[in-house]
Amino acid sequence: MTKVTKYRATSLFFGGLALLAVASTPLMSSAQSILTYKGKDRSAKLVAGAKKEGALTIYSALTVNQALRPLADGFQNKYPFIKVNFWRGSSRKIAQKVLAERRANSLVADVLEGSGLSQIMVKAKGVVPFSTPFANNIAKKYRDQNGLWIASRFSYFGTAYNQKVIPVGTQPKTYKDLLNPKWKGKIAWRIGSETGALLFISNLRIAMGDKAATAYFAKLSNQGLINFKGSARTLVNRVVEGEYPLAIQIFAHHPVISAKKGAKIGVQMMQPIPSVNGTIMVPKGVKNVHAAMLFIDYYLSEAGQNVLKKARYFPVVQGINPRKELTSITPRLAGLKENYVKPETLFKLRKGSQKIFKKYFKHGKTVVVKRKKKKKKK
Amino acid sequence: MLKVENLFKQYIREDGTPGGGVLGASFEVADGELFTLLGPSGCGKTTTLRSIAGLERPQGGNISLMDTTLFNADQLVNIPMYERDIGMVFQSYAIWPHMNVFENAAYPLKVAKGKRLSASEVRENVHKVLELVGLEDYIERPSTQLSGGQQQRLALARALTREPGLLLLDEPLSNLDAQLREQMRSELKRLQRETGVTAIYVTHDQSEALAISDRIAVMSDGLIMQIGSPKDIYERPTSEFVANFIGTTNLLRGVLGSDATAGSQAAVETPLGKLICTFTADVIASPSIGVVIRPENISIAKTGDSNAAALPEANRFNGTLLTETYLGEIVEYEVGVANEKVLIRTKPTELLMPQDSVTLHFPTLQTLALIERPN
Amino acid sequence: MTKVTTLNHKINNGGLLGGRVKQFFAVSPIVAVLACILLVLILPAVIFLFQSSLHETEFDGSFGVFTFQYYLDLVTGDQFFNNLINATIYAVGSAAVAISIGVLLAWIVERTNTPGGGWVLIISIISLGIPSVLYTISFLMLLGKVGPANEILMWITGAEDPLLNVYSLWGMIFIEGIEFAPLSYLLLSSVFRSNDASFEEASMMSGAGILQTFRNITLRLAQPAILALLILIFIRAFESFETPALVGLPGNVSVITTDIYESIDEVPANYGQAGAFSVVLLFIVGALLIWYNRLSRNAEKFQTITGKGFRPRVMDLGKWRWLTSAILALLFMVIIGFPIGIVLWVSLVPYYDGVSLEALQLFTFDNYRTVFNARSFHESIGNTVIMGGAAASIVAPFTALCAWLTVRRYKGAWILDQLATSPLIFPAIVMGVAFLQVFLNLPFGLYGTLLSIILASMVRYLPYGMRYSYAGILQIHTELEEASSMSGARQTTTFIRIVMPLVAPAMVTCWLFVFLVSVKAVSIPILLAGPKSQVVAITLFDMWENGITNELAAMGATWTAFMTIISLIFYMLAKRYGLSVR
Repeated sequence: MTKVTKYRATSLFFGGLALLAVASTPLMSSAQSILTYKGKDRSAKLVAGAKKEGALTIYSALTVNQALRPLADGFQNKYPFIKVNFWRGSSRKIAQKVLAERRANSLVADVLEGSGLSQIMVKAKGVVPFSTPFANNIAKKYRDQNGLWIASRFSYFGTAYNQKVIPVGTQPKTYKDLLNPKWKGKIAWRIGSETGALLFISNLRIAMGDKAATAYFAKLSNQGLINFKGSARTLVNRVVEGEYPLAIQIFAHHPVISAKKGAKIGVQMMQPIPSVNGTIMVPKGVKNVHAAMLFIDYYLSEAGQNVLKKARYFPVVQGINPRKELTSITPRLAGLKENYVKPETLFKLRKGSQKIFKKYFKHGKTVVVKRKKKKKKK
Repeated sequence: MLKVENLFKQYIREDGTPGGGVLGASFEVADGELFTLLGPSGCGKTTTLRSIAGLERPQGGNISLMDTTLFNADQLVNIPMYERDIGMVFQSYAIWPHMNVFENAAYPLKVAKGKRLSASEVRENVHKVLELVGLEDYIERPSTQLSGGQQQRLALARALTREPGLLLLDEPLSNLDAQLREQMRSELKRLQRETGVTAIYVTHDQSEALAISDRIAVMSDGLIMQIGSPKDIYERPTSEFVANFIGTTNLLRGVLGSDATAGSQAAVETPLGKLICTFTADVIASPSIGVVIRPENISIAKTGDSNAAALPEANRFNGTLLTETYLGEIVEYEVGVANEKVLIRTKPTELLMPQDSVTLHFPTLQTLALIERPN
Repeated sequence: MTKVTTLNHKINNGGLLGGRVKQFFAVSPIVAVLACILLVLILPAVIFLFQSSLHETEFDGSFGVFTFQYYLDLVTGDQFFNNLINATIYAVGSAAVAISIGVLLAWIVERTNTPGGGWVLIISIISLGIPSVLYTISFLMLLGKVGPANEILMWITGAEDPLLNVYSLWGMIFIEGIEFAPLSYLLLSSVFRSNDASFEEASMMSGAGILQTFRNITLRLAQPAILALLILIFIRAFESFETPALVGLPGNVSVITTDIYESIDEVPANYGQAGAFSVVLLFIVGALLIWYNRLSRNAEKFQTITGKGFRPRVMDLGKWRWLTSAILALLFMVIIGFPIGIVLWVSLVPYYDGVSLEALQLFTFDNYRTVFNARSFHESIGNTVIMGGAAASIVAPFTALCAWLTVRRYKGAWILDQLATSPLIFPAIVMGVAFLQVFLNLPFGLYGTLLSIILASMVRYLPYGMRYSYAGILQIHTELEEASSMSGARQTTTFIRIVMPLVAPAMVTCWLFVFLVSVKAVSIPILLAGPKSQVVAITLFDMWENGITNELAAMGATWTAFMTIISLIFYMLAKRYGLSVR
């Protein structure tokens, strides 16, 4: 059980290692400038370069069957000479993997997509600026000013309520309504996620200002909110099952989809509606840079955005609206007030919101469940 | 012929104290001779054998076989074991379980350095040697299906396949039951005679050694006590140790007044009285010398009997018969003479009963006065 | 006597590279080569592990300035000590449960005439084949809110809400205890088997009954072995990861190993904290193992095998043996029957809502269809087979050679023995962290590859390989090799023609064992696996986290069946060649 060290062997080993390290530094693509190239022959250059590369790896948090695979298939049909590999992981796992790959100098991913991903990657200097004419169809505020990311999809949040115990019309309609004593012990929200309780808090801090918001939270803490640690989808299912009458800060499209299947569940959008966007990015040290740009172009093109639409996501390109059943929860289409929280803002407010959560809501009853899903959904 | 000079190898125990080994042995073995190293466990016989084989590396001495020096400490010569012209039969036989009889016996021909024999030559040689040991009917049999005796014969065959200049046998019979042991003993002797191979045999069983050896070296505590033919060792031991180790003997302590030379006879004062003893080696005067006489050499007769009167005067003593043990072919008498108990073995006779007064005679030629161990 | 010249004692006879060359080395050259290989495999991991704990972790994961902060935080904060206590309670509890079951099983099977004792072997065979992730999950399904255990309890007591919350410390203890029961049974059965019956007979001749004899004599004699086993299971539970991660974390119960994992799971990863926790855990486990070694050596003194007069006694329980038979059946169901049953059930229903008669009508093979058609399923299985096969194929011959050199006492070979056994002190998750650092910090592009998992697994299972190889080599009498030398074969020829064929059965058994345990493991792949190197254990883990339960069950059931066949082959071979199976 003793550790025996042979210094001679060790130093020889490290010496050899140093040699190998020098010899195996990955060659940087000389065509990195294509990322921001704006010339007229951009497309031709991309196709020519992608032909040489012949491969593309995508890491994304989109669902596989509805979105990621159709996107990959559509892209591959358009450019048959590019072999597409994709890997689906949570945004968190994507960040972990890419950071580790970069650290180990063995970057595999060429394109990254996910929500809550951008700030980590930016701070870790793990992404590079890029530009594409296809981004002209996206409002400037949905693009990073340094060109490091472009919005990939939107998410809107609302309050789900079980219509059997809370008849339509009697549900809370504003944030203030939530303070009504009759909802005490009946409200659940998600913890352990960037888009759960933390976003709820950050959203109101922006909307009301910190002082008013803190007063609000102090009152809200008397309502005995239930801290739910699990996926958003599972929480909505719980509402459907009747375990929790109300769930705030859930993805608004989940109850809509459930209701369409016949579940007695409704969604109440409370203004201002917090919204965030997923981002698409190019990692630093990308290998198949031409293929990556071609894919981003495809993603932001009508073809790609329609795949998103069909998969019940919220497209980012102007002129392409989400599916009809989602109109009522899309703020700009439903005429509702939206509070778009930029990724940097979300990141900046994080610490303060965490403090507020700890102070007012941590003591709440925590329910933790290992999700038993019937269907795969985001 | 094999020549071993001043062979020295001492083991060191884990705590640093010296263990056993061979501490200086010298002997020669003539061509075609069956030479036995005999002694109790720990006497160094196995170390000697393994040193000759090359399985152990001695610290001193030299070993040569015919004209080849196998080992020489001073000249730093040490031929590896696989290059020595020696065949060896191990105590456990060491028959390889994953090979059949043929493959076991053929192995030395297949792996040895030097000119390779063709497959048919190998087959011929193997058949010959298996026939020699009586295993030719088992040639295809997996070795795991052989009995103990058959394994032993296969081990012998394998050792002889290359017709080595020397055959070493490390207690080859100790794992067999008594009946098989006697049978194999004569087999081994016969085979050795037939092939004429020079052999060194190691055993702790003295009757075995006596039965098969041409010459025996009796060892104790790393040293050779005596070398001689079985008859010499038995009848003319040169030390108490050898006399005690081989066969049974009576032992009396006596006083030797003055030096004596080998072959002479002189009187020794013993508790029984004055005994005329023969000396098999040069001995200096000693207050405690060993007097040995084997039980079968002592004559016994009822005192007053005509047989008793016929016994020579010198070395004649009277005593009382204490116990009688009837063993079928012989009878053992224990006779008390002057506070000593003497053991006699003789053919059964009706004439003697316990409590009888008896007369004993110790023939001078077989009454030996010996030192304890050679220096 | 003429003057004796003493030669250098240190030189061995023969040797693979000839006598002359070896005079210049205090260590045999082949030993030196192997030792270097071992050091290259093990040392970087150790160094990087320590380094990561002593340098500030930068945002991009690199090492910053030297600092003791991580260790200080550990000592000053609550987290570490709370989780240490959790871990200790968990480990003690699991060991107690495992030993109780093990003692009961071992006594019933080995020392009484209870019918049906042969079935217990099936428990061991299946438990070697079933992935630990799946096994734990099966209990979560059995004991969960909608599971049959709660249903029965609610039915009995008339309660409205589920009474059992398995995501708790007691849940962890119960599940881990059962998980270790087969190992406990195996080790104890050899102890009980080797006890000389005359001790118990003397007790009964003095008037003591069966239970009294069991308590006063059998148990007492086995006490040192039981104590040693207790420590062993304590250590294994203490350093385990799967059960705390699957059962404890959802219930907000953390132990050290899950802390380590969660530190790495953060974004950005907190390598420093993970490293500090790992190092401390390493030392704790190391100390425990040293203590265990001492205890188990003493335990051997109590073994009472007595040569020719020895026969184990089987006690006649009379009509009580039907009770013990029932106990045996119950234990069999709890340890194997129910877990496998629930997995099969869940694999055949579209969604899991508890066990009920109505659900029977929903039976379908859809889950199996989905799983068999999925490319990721094929990839995962392929990767796992390659990983296990490669690790086993390297460990088996390598340890065979090391064991041979050690048993034949080549100069310095004891170093090989020590080095090859040293990975035992690394809890699996710590080894994962250490190798993660190696692959992150060395520019070979190994991170996230299957090769990285193979390398880490190789190192982890070296000790197990050594154990089998050692036992196998010991069975080869030295004289078999000497006879080959005396027949004129050089060392290499002897090794190839005599040693290798004879050690082959042990090597095959070793190969199978390493294959089986390496594919079960989660702790190493979970940190090292990348998108392209998913293995079955991780796929199952991920499926559970994502709630894809039914397909998980289908995949798990299929894989378990496959592995159980291999486990069966392993057991048959081990028995045939007289090798132990732990």
